Amino acid sequence: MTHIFNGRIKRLMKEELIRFGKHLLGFLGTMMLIAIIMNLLHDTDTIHRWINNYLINSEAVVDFRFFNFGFFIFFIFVSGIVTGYELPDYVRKGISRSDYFVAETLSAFIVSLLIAPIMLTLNVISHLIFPSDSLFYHAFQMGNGDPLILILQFLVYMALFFLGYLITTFWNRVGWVITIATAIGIFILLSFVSLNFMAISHRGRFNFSLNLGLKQFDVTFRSLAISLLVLIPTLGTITYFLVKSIPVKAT
Amino acid sequence: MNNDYRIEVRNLSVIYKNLIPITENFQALKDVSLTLEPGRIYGLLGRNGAGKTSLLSVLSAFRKASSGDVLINGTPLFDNGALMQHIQFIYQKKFDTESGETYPKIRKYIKKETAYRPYFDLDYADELIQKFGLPTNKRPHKLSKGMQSVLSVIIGLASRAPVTIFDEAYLGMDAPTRDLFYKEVLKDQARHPRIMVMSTHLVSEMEYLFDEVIMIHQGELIKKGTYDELVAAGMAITGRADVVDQFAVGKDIINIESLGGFKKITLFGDISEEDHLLAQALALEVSAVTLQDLFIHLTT
Repeated sequence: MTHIFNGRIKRLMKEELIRFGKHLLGFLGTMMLIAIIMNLLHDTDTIHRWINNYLINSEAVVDFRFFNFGFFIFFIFVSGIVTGYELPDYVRKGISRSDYFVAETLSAFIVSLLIAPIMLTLNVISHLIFPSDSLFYHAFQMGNGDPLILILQFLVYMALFFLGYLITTFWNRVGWVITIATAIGIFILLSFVSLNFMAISHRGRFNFSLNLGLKQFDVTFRSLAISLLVLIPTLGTITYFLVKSIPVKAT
Repeated sequence: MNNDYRIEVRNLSVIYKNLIPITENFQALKDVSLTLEPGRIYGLLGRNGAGKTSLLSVLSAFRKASSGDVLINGTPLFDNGALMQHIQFIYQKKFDTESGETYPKIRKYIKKETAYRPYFDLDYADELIQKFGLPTNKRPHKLSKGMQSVLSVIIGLASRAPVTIFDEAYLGMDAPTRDLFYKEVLKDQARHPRIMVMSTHLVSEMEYLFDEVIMIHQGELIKKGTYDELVAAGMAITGRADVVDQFAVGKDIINIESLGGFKKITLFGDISEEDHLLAQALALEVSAVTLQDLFIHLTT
């Protein structure tokens, strides 16, 4: 195993965190642009109503607009995919697969930890732009305001990072067909965890019963945390061993 | 710059396995063993599909050997971050934008590509940019194929990696540019000696660069030696067919050409002074064999 604090890893982590910041700023900029366009079109009632109903307050974009769980879950999953996709480029630049894996995992860990304060800050900024919007308060209602939900969120982010990373690693090794088939299988397996987590997040309570038609499950904070704590090292270990011997083409 | 690297390849095999066992696995390299000494330029010769790129991919840790070892100063190379940053593998890179990849302008691209090369020399890269006339206001995918090759070799030379590998990276260049590149290789090798491996099909053009030549054929190492050793081991004999046949008994013939009653054979191996005297006595014409001819005859 590579030395965890060698110069290459530090440098890679710095690059990765800068990339995260850039992408976040890019998304923020896009959201600001939407806000500006909305203000410009303020006089046109129909368009304004349409934007208000479908673009701003639609269920699908609420999470994105408020940089909540939904936005970051997408963000971190895509980061995982990009991480796997960029591995060959870094190997070509003289970075070992192990160094890359350690650096990217540590970066994802830091980003997942930073998400809560970033989310809070962005929501405050968002509230300043849309002061009358009651959705701002909704953003702080996840898990019924219980700070423990942040631990679950962190675990879900890490699990999704590895899932994304695993998918592109698989693609690098075996091609798209087997990757897609495997990904579907993993998604089905993970749906139980994610569905329950979403349910808990939005219903605001930790004891939630989900009837899957087969059995009545009693999902608790502890059961979810344990399942994620098992899932993360499992996905991480599989990814690490697949990454470690991945061939890189000279193209 | 650490120029004491010594590479040892032990019983190296590379097999490309098929996931779905409908077709047979392909063995690209078979039990290859060789040593690369510090500060030497190696020419790697082999026909298309001989296994050159597979060998170079393993030497640069792009690929793991199916069996066998690659050691640098006794340490296994594969996935060793401390060693990998000192190995620069230059090949004919496809600057493909179809997959959505974007490239910065030349100088930024060079910096990005060499960010993890501890001995990279930006001043030398600038000097090479000037010499080769590389337009820095363009992006790599907008360059001509020849200029893309120039960009790749500039990165290879300016990285000053203790192990620098060129895999036919110069194919797109025109003759004057290739000549300039060869001169730069020799000049920079004199200033900063390193292990340099150059795979090529341009044998006659590049042979003067090589301290040693490695020939592989169908995945196997067939010859390795200095240029002088290899060329001295080859001899062409021309004369009357029956006399040539008489001379050739028990010798390692790698090529035969017949024309009417005359015959020309190419021998390879230990050719003694007695052989030379015998050829003279039999009135046979003895001539040297070029590296290119040896390569052709040994691999056909």
